[in-house]
Amino acid sequence: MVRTYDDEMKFLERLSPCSWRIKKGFVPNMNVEGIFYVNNNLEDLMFDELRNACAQGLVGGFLPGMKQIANVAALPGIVGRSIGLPDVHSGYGFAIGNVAAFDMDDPNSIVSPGGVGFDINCGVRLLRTNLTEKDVQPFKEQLTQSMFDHIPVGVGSKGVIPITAQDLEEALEMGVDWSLREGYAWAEDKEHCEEFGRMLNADPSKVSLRAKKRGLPQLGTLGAGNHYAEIQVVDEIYDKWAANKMGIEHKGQVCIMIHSGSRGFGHQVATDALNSMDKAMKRDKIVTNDRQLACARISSTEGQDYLKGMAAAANFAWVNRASMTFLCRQAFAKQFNSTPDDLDMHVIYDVSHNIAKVEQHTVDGKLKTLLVHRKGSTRAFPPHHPLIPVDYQLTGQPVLIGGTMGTCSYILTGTEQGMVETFGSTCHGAGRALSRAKSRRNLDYTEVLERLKEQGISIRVASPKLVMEEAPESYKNVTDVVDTCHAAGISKKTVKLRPIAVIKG
Amino acid sequence: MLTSNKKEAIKVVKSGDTVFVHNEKQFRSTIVWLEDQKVRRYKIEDRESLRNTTAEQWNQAFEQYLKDLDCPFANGSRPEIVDWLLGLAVQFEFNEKPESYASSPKIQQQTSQQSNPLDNLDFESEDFQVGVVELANLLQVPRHPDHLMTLEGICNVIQEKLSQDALKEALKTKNPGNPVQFENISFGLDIKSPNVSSAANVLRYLFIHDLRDLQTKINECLVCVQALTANPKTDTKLGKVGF
Repeated sequence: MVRTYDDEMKFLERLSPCSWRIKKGFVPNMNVEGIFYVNNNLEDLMFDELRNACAQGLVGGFLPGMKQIANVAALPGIVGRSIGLPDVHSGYGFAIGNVAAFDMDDPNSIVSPGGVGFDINCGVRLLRTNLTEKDVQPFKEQLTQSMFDHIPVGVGSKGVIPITAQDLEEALEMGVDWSLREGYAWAEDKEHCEEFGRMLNADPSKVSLRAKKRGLPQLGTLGAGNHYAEIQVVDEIYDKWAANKMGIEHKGQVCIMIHSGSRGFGHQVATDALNSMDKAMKRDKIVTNDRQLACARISSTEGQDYLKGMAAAANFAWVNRASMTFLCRQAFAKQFNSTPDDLDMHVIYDVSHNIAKVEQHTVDGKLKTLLVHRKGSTRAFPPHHPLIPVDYQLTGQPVLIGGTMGTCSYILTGTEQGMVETFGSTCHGAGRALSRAKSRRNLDYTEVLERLKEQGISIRVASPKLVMEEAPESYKNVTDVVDTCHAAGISKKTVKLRPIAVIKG
Repeated sequence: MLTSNKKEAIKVVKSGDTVFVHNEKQFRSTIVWLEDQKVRRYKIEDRESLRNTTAEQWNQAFEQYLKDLDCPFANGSRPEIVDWLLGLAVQFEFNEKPESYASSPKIQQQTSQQSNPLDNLDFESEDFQVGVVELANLLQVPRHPDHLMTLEGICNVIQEKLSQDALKEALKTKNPGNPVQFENISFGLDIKSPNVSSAANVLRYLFIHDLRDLQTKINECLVCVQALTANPKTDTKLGKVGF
């Protein structure tokens, strides 16, 4: 079925200055409606994408984000709405920036690896320090080099923490508790981690040997793509009281942001699951609009195995970020001839933005247990929610939004409205505007590096020729994305950070 | 009575009187006595192999017996096993007639004899009540109609602000913290009456305070365990940057 752009527009309706409704019929078999959040700039990007796709007759390549949101709304067991956040862009099956919740009590409900993403439990962690920009400025280059020396980066990187196969099994089961036991993490780190840094349903026996082999040497490495570790300074404080609760006292305070995930391990877990689910779909006669939306019933063996394997990968990612936290603390302690404790290097928070979790939400006035898929979306629970740390009970959960290389990052807090509208979810970052291939064609890496230098940002990068893939031009404007979430009320701006040093793959 | 025997028996075991547990004959007959009289895990006819204390296979029978009892110390030392069995026997004995132990006058007497001077105070006497009021005025603790409640409040103030630990702590922390702006905080409660609302908010705040205390204690526990288990290592030779 190929419709013209004007025909497609009949299924789209503006709900508010920053949200649009996707009506049933936009794609076949929609069980619920879709919604996406945009401001004027982001809106143009979204509708251009649809217009281009219509002109080409919806063949080849990725589907436009709006179509993907609608296809997800056609999956069995979905409740509420299929939600596109302001940073939404095309991904594998599910758009990146898509939230979808499935009723655990409906036997037809599904779980889909595409709804989590290949980098399972990719996430962001923010450490604070009691240093100021002035303290760090004279040593910026050394500090960047030291971070680069401590944290191996790049696709084939290997970590500096010795680990045996048995250690890995335990780490997969225990998550941050493993890091704690072995002394790589502080007790307070666990407290400020989503899920306390451990998915309890993890089962390493459901993970293939291949995944474990890929994961073993990679623990404590950053990886490539859009992953990075940045030294940032507080640029703006929008909510002084909430910022204080996070230990952020003033502009110019130095923080460290780590954006990484489960490396090759999570990728392999997802790939393995997609293969096994293909068969399960035929057996259980599950029909989807897009082949990439491979899925299995939550209660089926394949569904359960994936959830247990995914949880193990999530634990891997937490151990990975905890290990890099340890290495950052070492790098800073050495440089400033102090201890991480005296530098007050506490974890402010650690978010996951590629994960599926069982949560309770109110749908149509009824409390329901749901499997919430967040792909390129961050949980943003409101104040007083029992699952957020005690320190943030009054402010709401901190939400860490990593910018792109050289642009600013944000801390938001969760809101009650987000709980009602988006299953307590908000955006995760800037969101791609250009594909990687297009970025490589259109941009020159020397220019990108030169510009960072002009901005006074130190950079260490393993593969300079790939930096244009991650250049700000390749992404939507993170400020637009964050402002839209703030205006829509699904999360609240609290702090803005800007980078002064970057290390990446 | 079993309990007194038991206390004796436990005393013997715990004092490390190795004669008892290493005297094979005595040990075996104690086990048999416990099974016959108190534990009664097996039917009488099934106790044969255990009762035959001189047989060579007695140890095997004993192992089986421990397994059947789900004894967590089956592989443990004999004092551990005996201690556990005695505990089990006491439990059975008690469960048979719990009412006869409900208020043992002996025990009550014992506790009141432990001379705590406060135990002899008359908490309802006028003197005492006046004292509480004076203390409350002195410490600026609001008065509750029930003077014992007021006393509890006074205790809290003293423990948290005036005890030696609290005073030391207060000297240590230089940062006085930020005063809470109550009116600016959303406590997530939709209560119309302003008085009820502020009372509920205070309760919610106190609850969060308690939760923080609990979390701090959990962290302290974790740190204690870490002292035993932690041994972080790095080996820079393993590191490799990927391209």
